Amino acid sequence: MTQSSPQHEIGDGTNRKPWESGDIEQFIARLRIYRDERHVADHPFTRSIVSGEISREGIVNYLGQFCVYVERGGKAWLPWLMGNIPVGLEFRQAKNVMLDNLYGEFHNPADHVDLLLDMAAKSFDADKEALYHSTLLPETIAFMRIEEHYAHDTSWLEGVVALGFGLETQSPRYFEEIRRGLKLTTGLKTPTTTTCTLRRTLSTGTA
Amino acid sequence: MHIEADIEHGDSIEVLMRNYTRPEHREAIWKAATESIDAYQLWHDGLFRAYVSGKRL
Repeated sequence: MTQSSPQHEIGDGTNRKPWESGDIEQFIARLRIYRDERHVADHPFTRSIVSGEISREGIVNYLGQFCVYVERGGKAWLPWLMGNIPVGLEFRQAKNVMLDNLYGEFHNPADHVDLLLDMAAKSFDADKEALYHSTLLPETIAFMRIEEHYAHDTSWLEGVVALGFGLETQSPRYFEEIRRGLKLTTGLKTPTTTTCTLRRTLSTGTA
Repeated sequence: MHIEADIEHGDSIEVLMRNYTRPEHREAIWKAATESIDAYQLWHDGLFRAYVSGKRL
C-alpha cells in the first residue's frame, strides 16, 4: 500500500542524496514530486470512501480518529509551532497567511473538532460524546508522535515544512475526494463551506 | 474559499522554504517533509486495515 520511503539517491548515477544537488527550486520541486507520488487523495483508504466500499461505521470511526487527533494533537502542537516562529521573520505576508491558517484551526466558529462532531452527528447519527472519546488506532498514535516531534522538538522551519508542506498542502485534493465520495455513496448533504473548512481537520489534525 | 486559502498557504510555505533553507539545512528539511508525508500514508494504511480490509477486526 504505502510506498517505501528510503532517502533514495537521485537518478543521475552520482550516488547523491536528493538534498545534495541542484538549487533551491530543484530541491522544492523534488519534494513536490515526492509528496504528489504519495498523495493521500490517492490512498486506498480514500479510494474506498469514493467507491463506497467502506461502511457507515467505518466512516464514523474514521471521523472519530480525526477528531481525537485534532483535539489532542493539533491543538496542542500548533501553539508551540506558532510560538517558535521568529518574531523578526521577513516575508511578512507569507508569515501572516501561515499564522492565519494555523490559528483558523481552532478559532470559532470553525473549531474543527466541533465541525467534525456536528457533521458526524447530523449526517451519520453518530454519538458525539463517544466519538470525542474514541480509542486511537496504533497508527494514529504513531502519526501523532511524529508530527508532535516536528512541531515541538525541531527548528521552526522543520515544523512548518512537516506540518505545512507535508500535510496541509495535500488538503484541497484530499478533502475534495472525501466529500465527493460521501456525496456519491451516502447522499451526504454536507455544505461545501463546512467540508471545505474541514479540509484542514482532515489533513493535519490541525489538521 | 478555504481551498483557495490552502493553495495560498502552500505558496507561503514555499516562500519561507525558499528563503530560509540554507544549504546546510537541506537534509533536515528534506527529512521533515518526507517523514511527515510517509507518516500520513502510514496512518491511512492503518485506517484501511481497521475500517476497510478488516484485518484489524
